[in-house]
Amino acid sequence: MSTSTHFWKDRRVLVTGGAGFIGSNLVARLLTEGVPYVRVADNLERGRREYLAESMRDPRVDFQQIDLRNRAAAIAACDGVDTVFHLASKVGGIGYYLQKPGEVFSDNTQIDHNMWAGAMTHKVPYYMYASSAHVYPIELQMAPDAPPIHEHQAYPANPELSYGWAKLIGEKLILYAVQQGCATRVAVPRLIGAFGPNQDLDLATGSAIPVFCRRAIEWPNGAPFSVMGTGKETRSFHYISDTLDALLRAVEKLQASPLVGPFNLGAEGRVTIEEIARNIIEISGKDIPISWDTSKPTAIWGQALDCSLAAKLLDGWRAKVMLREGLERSYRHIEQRLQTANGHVNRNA
Amino acid sequence: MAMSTATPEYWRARQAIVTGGSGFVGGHVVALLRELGCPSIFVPLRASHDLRTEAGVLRMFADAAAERPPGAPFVVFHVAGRNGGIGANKAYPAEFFYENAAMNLLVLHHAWAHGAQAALATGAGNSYPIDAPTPLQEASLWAGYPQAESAGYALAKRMLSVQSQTYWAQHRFPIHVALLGNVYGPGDNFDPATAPVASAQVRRIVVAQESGAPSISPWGTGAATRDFVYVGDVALGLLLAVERCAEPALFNLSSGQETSVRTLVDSICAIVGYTGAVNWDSSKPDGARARSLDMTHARALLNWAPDTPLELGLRETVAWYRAHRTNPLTSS
Repeated sequence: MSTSTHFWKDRRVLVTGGAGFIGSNLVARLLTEGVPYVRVADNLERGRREYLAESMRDPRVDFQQIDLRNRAAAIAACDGVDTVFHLASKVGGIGYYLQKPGEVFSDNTQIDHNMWAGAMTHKVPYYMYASSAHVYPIELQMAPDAPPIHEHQAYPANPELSYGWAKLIGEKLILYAVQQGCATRVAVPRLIGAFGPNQDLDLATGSAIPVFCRRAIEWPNGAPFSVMGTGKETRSFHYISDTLDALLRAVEKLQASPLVGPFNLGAEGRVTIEEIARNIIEISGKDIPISWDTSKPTAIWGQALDCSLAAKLLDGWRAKVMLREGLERSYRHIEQRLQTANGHVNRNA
Repeated sequence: MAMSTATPEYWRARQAIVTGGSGFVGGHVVALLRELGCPSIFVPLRASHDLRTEAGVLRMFADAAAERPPGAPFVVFHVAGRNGGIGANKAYPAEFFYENAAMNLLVLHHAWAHGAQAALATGAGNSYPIDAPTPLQEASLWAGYPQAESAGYALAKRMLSVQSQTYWAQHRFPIHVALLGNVYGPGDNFDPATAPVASAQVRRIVVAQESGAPSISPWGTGAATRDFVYVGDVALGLLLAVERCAEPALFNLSSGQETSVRTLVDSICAIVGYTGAVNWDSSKPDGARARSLDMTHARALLNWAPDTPLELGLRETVAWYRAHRTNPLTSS
């Protein structure tokens, strides 16, 4: 829970990528915190209006379809707000990142530069930059039981994906400005493995949990339950409500500090991809065989972060929702979406 | 904008106290007084003169007296108030009632007690009964209950007319009460969370134009009508009432023109040069369906009525906003 709710009652907030997974959940949460104005900026490339349907009925929400690769658009988006959650970026599954590394790097660094220019132009007091666990060097993620990574291990830098390099550049852009003494205060969480309602259900571009849920729900009428890799790869997952608690608290902490982070934001525990798949199949109550697709080599074998800094910075924050409970909530949510969405979801395998 | 027809000789001979003089409407009253050569304009500040308290009000009149040219009379423009949209009124109804009632009671009472020549206070169009026929006429002010969500605010404002009537009956002290329409113009509140419809749309459309947004989605159907009045006209109307009315006047002060929100948005788009699509979001509420104020009484009373065309006033507003838009938020 948020520690100083009156803080949010005075905020005029911009959420970039606000129609996306984390963004749409954040917008709903900000409304319950009493924020009087939330501008949502999203180009709807991956974000969807339907994720925001409920929030958009609230007169405090101001949705604007904006492409933040356009510098003027990004600067204008910061007009009149005092808190920016910058979540927008070109995202996808690992396959997507590996296919379009140049586009991902170029678009994301451009978006981050444009947004930061907006924050500087309008002297935005509070800014949250969503960084990622993908900033960490690939050699620290080569084994399923690789030790949890600490924040300082981002350097010497060697991210596997151009997405991670772009996030590092995005961090540096901000950290150098803070070092110089800019007017904007910044929180930089490095997110890993958030999941929950409003994730991409596309089998080609979605991430593991929502894709597994969809495969299980559509079984046996949909595509086979195939999983990329060996199943022995490990990941760290936590439920979106925990993400939001941390994001809000990190911004609240900016009242007393020009910089909060970079800090790891995730669950300390890790699970194998196979455990995730088995859990979801169990939740489905069906008897589903898994076919392992090892046609592509595994890029990241083990991803786990040490999250003790987050606990220290954010009054003992830690991911609280148990994995199984989060998976059940997600499964029910996706089940509902697939029933009602029809044309909204790409049904091609 | 509109040619000032106020009499400089009148205003050069007296002090004016303007509560709310650092705000939107009050700021334009101060600017006009200055332009006319008023030698002493006293604007109380919230920090030193909290008008919700009698101590603050007494300090205001004492400090104003210290600055007054010897022997000069003084008048009081009471423009200060706790204002806000329906949302804020719903959230803080007691504060809206108490603060406005307390301020009005104290400021106007002590204006009389300290020997002011006259006082003028600003009321609001939403003080009218929710079901009063449009265009709204002064005679129907007491013919029913106002919109429930903002009743605390509306009824506190309505009591201005009672104070005006009683202080005239017993003390022969004139308190004029102006009921304002939807005032807009330079210096308006552009805070995205609380801006009224005209300034909110100016901001929205300027931002859309700059950002190259393919479309905007204003709330509602656009069919609701409002009575928009340019702030410069309001300032002049307030001065003219003090100058020209010997007896206390209760009068509408607006353009008397019913303009749909759709027309407002189209005009702003044309001025801003925004060529994207306007997609009305009819899932959002329109608010009151229609509102306009009958200006017959005021026109006779003041021998004048607001005449700045909407198009011209919006041009001034857009220009002002563009010039000031990189400023930090004006909200406190």
